[in-house]
Amino acid sequence: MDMKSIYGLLVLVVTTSLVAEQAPPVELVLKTPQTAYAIGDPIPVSLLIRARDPSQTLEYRQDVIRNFYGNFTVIGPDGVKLRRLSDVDVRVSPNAEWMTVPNNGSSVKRADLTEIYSEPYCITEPHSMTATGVYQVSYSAEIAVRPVGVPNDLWVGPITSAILKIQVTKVDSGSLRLAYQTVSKKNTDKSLQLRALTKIQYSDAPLTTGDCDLLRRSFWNSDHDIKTKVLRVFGAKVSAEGFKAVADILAVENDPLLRSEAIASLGRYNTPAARELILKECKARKERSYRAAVVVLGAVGDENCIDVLQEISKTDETEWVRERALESIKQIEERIGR
Amino acid sequence: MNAHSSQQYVTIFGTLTQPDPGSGRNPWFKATVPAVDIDWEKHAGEGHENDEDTWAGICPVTTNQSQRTKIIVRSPKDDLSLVPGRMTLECWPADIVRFLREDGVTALWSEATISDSETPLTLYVDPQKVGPFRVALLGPSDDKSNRPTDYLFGKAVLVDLDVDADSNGAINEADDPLEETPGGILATGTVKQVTLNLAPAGLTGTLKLLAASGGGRIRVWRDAGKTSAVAMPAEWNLSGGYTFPTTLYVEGINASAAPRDVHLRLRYTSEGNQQIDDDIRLTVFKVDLITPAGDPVNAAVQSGDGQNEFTYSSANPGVLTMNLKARVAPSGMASQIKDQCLFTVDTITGSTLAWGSSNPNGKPTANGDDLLATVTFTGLPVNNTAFGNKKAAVYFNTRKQDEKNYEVFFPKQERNHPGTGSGSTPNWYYYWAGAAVPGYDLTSGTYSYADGSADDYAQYNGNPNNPHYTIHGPASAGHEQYNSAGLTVDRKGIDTCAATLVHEKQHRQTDLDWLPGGAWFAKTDGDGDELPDDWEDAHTAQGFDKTKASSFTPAFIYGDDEEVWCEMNALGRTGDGSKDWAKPGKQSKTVF
Repeated sequence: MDMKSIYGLLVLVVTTSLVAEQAPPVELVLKTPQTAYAIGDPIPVSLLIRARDPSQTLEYRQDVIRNFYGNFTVIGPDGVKLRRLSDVDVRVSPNAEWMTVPNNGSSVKRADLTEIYSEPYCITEPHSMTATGVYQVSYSAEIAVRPVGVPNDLWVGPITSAILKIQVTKVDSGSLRLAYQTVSKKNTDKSLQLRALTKIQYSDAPLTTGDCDLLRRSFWNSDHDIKTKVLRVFGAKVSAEGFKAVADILAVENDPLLRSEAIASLGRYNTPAARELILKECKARKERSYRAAVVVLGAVGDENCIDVLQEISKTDETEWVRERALESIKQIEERIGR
Repeated sequence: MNAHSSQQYVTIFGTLTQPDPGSGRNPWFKATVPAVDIDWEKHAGEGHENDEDTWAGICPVTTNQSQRTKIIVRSPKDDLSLVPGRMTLECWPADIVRFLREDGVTALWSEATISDSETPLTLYVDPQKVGPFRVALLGPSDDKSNRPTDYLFGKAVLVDLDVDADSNGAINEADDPLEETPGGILATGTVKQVTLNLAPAGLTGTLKLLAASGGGRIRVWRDAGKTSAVAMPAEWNLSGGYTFPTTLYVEGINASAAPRDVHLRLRYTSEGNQQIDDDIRLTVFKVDLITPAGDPVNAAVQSGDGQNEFTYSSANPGVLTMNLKARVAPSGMASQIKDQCLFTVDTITGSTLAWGSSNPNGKPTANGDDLLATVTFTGLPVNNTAFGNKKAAVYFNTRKQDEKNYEVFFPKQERNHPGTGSGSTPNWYYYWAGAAVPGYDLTSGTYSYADGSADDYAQYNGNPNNPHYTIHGPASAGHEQYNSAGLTVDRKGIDTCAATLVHEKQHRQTDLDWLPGGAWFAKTDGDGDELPDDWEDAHTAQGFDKTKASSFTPAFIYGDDEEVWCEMNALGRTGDGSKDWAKPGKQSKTVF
């Protein structure tokens, strides 16, 4: 870092300490067109920065939106803060520009919350906006503001927007029917298909045999993302037909990521037949999916799985796999009361 | 009395004596033998007549009047007065020599008549063949057809030092009139053949090759391969026969200060110390590249004389123009050698080479002491490997005279590369893929380009199954400097691009780790920073805190702890600067 940068930081720190107790000259506002959205529908939000005194012409440093997605806070209906699951990440330079605060109410950046909070990255803790209820959304950022043309009159401090409440509602039968129609249509836009599958995944309605057949056909006719989503639907909607579909997929699918997803789905079934397939995968030691099986067995395995896991805990070439095998053994032993 | 009536007129003085006693005085008498006289000019001193019949004049076979041996036809004498009449000049063999008058043009062949009114007459011996000959000068006949006669004996000798003066690749008669003006030319470091000839066979004496001037600019070799040197001056004794080499090779060592300043002389010296010289002149020249020149790595020049970095234009298709220049020394030689010179430049694979209309196949024009040529390459190459280190050379008669390195660049921010994205994606985005930025492969289809806003570097689509990375302009143009979360970063250009992609790919790796089959699958992440709690516990020394999504104070400039982790992975990751042929880039004069 050169001296100029160091000097700039010192000025920023000193100035912050001087003005942080003053009221911020701007406020952050989140807006969304509707108050309620059904599960799977896009939830657009806009971030506005506006001067508290509209007569003032201010400018802000662009770094207020530097970590745009990370600056959101979304509290779910259960009071738990959602985790940002997808790294729709724009890595930006710290050498941010100064932007004029728009006084006409226009937004400075927009986002679809369902893109940010889209899918669970761990099977036990979904952090998408797929539960019904009221979500509380806010945006917090460190912001530097100054009047245009007065560079020394700098205000620097954290600002949090007012909470925006968004209602997420159940997927009604009509929407669900439309979702199945979307899935059934070939050449439908991929994002629409994924949203339709999200509606199916988080609807209350169980899968019928026909639904399973449709999803199975969709799996074989689709790209990797939709296949993954279909497997997650089968995991979320446990059914005999769903198990058969996943078992069929495991029998022929070679993609390690999809096989891993299939193993994760089977973990939701917690049946002897599902356990047997997971154990088989574990024994096969196929590229990535056996590692998923090692972890899933910790949640659903029985004493018949311990020998295989012990073997892996001793022989696997990867340290974390050996550790996860030991953890799974411990989970099974605790569960069966050893 | 001692007289040589055949060589000179003789006057006999005497007194007639009566055989018996008697009166009267004995009358005196004077008798003059009529005579003619012809002399070698260089053997006309006192007493020369004494050995004139045994002294052979050496006569060079030459086209140079000033080098010809001269004879003098003197006035015929009889009694006390001149003998009127005409004299005859005869040669034997008749065709071996002729005689030229002062004008160098008018020739007298054997049997030519000379009037006494012309005497004394100086004639120049112009041998037509080599070998011994006799010249006889015959005076007017008496009543018994006796003619006073004087003789000269000579030897026509060829001493010939030849060089390919017209530079046509052969030594022949056409070179003779050119061998001193303009003389032969040779470039420093090259050799030029010279031939030595002495005739007729059997001559005695010495043959010597010497440098009358400019000897320090050359070396002489017995062979073109320069394995056997000849010390100068070189002298061969002919008494034992012809032992001199008939071919030698002159190597140019130092450039001449002026044209023709190397003066070589072949000198035959007879046993009687008569000398015949034959001279040639040589000019040792050098051709030095002016453009390109210098060290493109440590002393880069981007324009004008000495330019050694060349960059395609911003046009589409881009054009790379090289104005080649070489300087010829000594002054005044450029126009003489230009037609035998050629420039060459390395190819740029995939780019079309074209010489300027005045420079077909690299043939230069001359301007003062400079050789000039323009070459263009049209259309940027397909592959990054086509840029970079190149060589230009200038040749004289297929012999390389000078060679210099230069470097070829693409304009970094222009969009005139060929192939996918031509016209829409910047050149750096296209050319850095493949090898310059590790792991960056445009053929994979996982990358795209978007200008983005001023400070955007790159974007990962958040889909580990089907990752896609959108690269923005500042990933190459920005100078990234920060000190945050214990990380000190100062990088730009290809290094920023490389680090940016590592950062974005670490996001994908993080996502993969969380997916089934990944290292972090089903683990707990209490603070929601996408780093598992146990992992953060294991990395507290680096500042991670499992209870805080942003563990660092002040907050890391790029966001939460996962951003820190991605940056830690990117720290120190660089592009391969040796493959960065962007201008500006890691190889250009202004390093970026």
